[in-house]
Amino acid sequence: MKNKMDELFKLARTVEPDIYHVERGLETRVLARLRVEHESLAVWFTWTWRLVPIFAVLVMALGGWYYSVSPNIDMRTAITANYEQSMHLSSLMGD
Amino acid sequence: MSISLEELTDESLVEAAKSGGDDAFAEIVRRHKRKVLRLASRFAGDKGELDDISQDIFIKIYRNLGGYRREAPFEHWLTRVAVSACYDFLRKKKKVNRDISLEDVEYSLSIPADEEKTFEALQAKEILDKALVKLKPKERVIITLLELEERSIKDVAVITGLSEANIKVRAFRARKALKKILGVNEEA
Repeated sequence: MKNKMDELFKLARTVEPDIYHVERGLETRVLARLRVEHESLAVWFTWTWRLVPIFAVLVMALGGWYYSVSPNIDMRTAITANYEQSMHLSSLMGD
Repeated sequence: MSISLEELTDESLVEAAKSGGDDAFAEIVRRHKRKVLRLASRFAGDKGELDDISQDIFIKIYRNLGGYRREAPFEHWLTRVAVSACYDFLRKKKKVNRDISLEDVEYSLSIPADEEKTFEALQAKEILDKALVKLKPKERVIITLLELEERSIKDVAVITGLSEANIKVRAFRARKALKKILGVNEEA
């Protein structure tokens, strides 16, 4: 006696799937969805690039402000301070 | 002399679509939609779901066009991507189906022998659809490809990326689970 399950599969295979309504215009719907995705990505990129000059100006303004509130900063002294200290330590340690 | 898109091979269309040719991709969809829809209909519960899955499949194909190497025919690659998208869909859907009652399935098992063949077939499909929903997504994909799509174990292994031994084990488990769900005795 044939397996009941095999019989079910055999019968089910004969059913033609109803795809007509979905088949119509599928390519249009897929392309529309892709277009929407592209547009949202494009908007994101556009805004990212538009914000670059704003951030650049902000960084420059912050730099200027920091320099203006602490005018005594001597760049050369700040850079060489560590070097001089380490030389001093080296001479004390006898290196 | 210009060549129309219909005359181009799948591989040429892929190349054109990769470089942004929407028309080329539309032609790919047009060419393969019937095959994709037939496969997706095995996993969709209704027309809305069928539309969603088939769109997801083609979107996935579009996004992965760069990964298509001409080692195998485009159709084989497309089937692999389609099956993978169906599997993703089933995994997402699995949680929703957990609470479906088996009452309908048990009721439908008593197929009247004197009914028309078409009605019998439709009922068999309905029974199977309801029972297949209960399987794990991977097992459902495998049993569908083997039993409903009538593909060979070797074929299913290539499509799913699993070993043939793994396919056999999963198919065995799926059949066992289906028998349990459907209330079919081994001796029957």
